[in-house]
Amino acid sequence: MSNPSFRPLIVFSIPVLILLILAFPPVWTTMTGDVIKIKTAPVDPTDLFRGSYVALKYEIESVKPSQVDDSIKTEFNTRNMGDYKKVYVRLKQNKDGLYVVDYVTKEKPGEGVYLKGELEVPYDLQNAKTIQIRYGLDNYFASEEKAKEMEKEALANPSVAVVKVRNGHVVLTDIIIE
Amino acid sequence: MANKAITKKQFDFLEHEFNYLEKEGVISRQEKVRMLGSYDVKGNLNFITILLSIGALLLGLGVLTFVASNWIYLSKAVKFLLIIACLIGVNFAGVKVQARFPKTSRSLHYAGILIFGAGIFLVEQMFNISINFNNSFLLWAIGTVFIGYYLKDVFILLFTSFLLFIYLNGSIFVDETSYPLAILVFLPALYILLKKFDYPNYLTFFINALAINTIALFLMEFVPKLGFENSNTIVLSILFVLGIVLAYIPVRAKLQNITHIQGHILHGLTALFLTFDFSIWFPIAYFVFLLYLILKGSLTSIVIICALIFRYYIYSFDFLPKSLTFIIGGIMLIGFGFFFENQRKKGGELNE
Repeated sequence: MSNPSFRPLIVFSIPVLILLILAFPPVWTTMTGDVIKIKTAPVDPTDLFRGSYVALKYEIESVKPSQVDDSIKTEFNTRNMGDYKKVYVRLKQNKDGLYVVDYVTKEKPGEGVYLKGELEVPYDLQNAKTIQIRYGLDNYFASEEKAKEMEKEALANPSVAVVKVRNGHVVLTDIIIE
Repeated sequence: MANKAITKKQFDFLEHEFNYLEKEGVISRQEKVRMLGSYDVKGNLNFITILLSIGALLLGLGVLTFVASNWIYLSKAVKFLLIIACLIGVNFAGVKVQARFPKTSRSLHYAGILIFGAGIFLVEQMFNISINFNNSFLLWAIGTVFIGYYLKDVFILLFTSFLLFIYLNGSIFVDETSYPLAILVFLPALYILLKKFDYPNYLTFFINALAINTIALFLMEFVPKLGFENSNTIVLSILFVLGIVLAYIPVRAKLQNITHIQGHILHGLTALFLTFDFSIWFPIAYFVFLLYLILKGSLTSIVIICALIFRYYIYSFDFLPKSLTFIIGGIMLIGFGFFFENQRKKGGELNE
């Protein structure tokens, strides 16, 4: 590697490699993952570097304590309040064909559709009314006009997020406004 | 003896004078050549460099805003390939023309760095990835630091530390599970590079500031967890002591000036906040300490003392007649102005 003509090759490959590594997991998930639909609702801000996006809230982000596995409740105590802990959320399809939360566990489910999520530990996990989980699905990037338009339409009509899932990894691919 | 770097203008002046001395017979021709030989002309920012840098900046900004505009007429895959092709293209061209056109080559690499940043944001936009924004800047910094090292370019390293500032301070806004730990790897690496680059002033200032910033942030994060009642005061006090230590710490000569000035700035700023927390003995003792520093010729301390007085002066509005407040303020400013000028006139080692 001490050959001087190799050094620029290595140095200038690093940025390219970083971009490819960053892009690979979502590309793989998009190509091979299962398609699921989740109910969602938007609000619209702008990101200076990444452009306009629609910020989304999901129904599956709030779960009832009864859906959360006991092992989580005992392990995540008040000391961790405000921390985010890794969990797996098993989903099931309801009669409209949309996916909703079945249960939340610490261990990876062996089968079925599940998402990796981060659970926000509330003050009192045993008796909290709802528990928040995030999935990294919060932003849908679009051109400025489209983002505005989507926000306006979606506020009036129910909308659905189309998501690709593979081994708990997710990529948000589309928003359908009904 | 290493050659002293001076500007082209200064060199021309010396040459002119030495020619005069040679003509008058004061020095010989060999002596003139030898004396001029102990100076090097500093590379000035010339027209070409400025033109090329602005060109690179515009090109890079164009790509960045192109990504941000989320243009719908090109598919995502095409956009991604375009960015990768541009990135490889400018860097390859830069390496190719390095020997013949070093300045153009440099500006191509600058553009490459901006295009790389655009690429990161593009990938996040393409797949609707909502990772914490500060991590994007970390990735950007990882790519640029190697390029900066390879090209031995101070500006690229300055840019890297700027990206790291965003990474570091952006972490305040994200949740508690993501501490900016990568900075702990970056800081030692940056100091090694700083040494390799022989301590340029701006870079020293920025890297030191980054280190102080890191310490302050980690203190603010972890001290409150210890459960003391007045954790803010504790953090400020630790930083105050750190400032005093930095102001006196013996480091190698090239680092010394900058480090000591930063120490003075740090203890000055924290002391201002601490005057709100401690009783009157603290500002008085600190005031005496500042007077001692000023007598030793520290100009930074004059600024701190002005700020300190101003902080109490604002309160005096409430209980002094208005005209008296203005008169006191005026006398103070003129007094310090006089002191400043007087110290400057004395000259010498008054640069701290």
